Amino acid sequence: MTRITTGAALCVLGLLSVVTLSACTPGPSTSSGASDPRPRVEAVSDFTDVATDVSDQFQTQLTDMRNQVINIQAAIKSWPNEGNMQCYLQLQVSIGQQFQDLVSLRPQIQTMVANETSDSDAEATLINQMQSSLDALKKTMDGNNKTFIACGGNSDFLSEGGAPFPG
Amino acid sequence: MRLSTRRALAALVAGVIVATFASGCAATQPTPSPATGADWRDNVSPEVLELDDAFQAAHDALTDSIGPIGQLIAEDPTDCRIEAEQRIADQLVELIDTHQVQLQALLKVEREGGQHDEAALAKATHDLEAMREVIDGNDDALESCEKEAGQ
Repeated sequence: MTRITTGAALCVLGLLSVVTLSACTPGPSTSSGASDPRPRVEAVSDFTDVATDVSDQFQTQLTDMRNQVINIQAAIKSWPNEGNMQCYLQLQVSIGQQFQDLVSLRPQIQTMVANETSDSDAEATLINQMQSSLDALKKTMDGNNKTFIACGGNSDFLSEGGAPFPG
Repeated sequence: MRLSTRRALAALVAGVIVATFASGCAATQPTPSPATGADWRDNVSPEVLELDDAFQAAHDALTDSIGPIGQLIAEDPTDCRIEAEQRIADQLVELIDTHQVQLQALLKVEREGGQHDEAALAKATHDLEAMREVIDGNDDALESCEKEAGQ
């Protein structure tokens, strides 16, 4: 009886430990990792759904990029170490440029969503161009997280916020 | 099993659960670094700190306007709104490429125990004030976009 009770208690304890640790661990970043492979658009008559999907990706990346802009500035403002500071400042310049590059896609994204052309080949080409540009920028943005860690920062900070440096 | 033994075992299990929860959270939550936060500001002059705060305010003004302008464009993508968004992105790059460099040069000198160059501080303050006027103009530009859209 004693063995059974003790065994059951340890089992419950083990399960609770796992649940506790998983509840306390920050979740995975939504903007990190490899980008989903997405089917390229072929010449079809209706591009609306695909164009909307690409436009939604643009908006998501814009939000993620804004987070990186805010968080790299927060890291710079909070850290006095000169060695790291130069690393973060260089990364901030890169992130600012990437933000500008992303926003510069907006007019073409809107043209793509409007789909006012009767030329389906042109629309397909535009959608593919926008998807490729977004994929490339997504890879660069994910690379920012690695650079941030290399500078001495915390892996979750750049995309999600939190403590920028190891405690 | 005796009642007292069961009670002792239950208390032990409860204690371990609480300790596990506390240590699990402590191990996985971000831990503030002792060198971060406001302590470094103790070694910087009020004038340069004022510039630092002004830079942060300008940065916040730009990042705060990114979300709403994107929302407006999503609702109605007028050329005026899209151009306003492009200007905000350009201003952010200028703030980083020019004004951050000026600010960090002043901060570096003081963090290393030196005294800031008054002329450099005056120029950085003047340049940032001019930049802030440009940033503040974004609200007027957007207002004009809305008037244009309403006509």
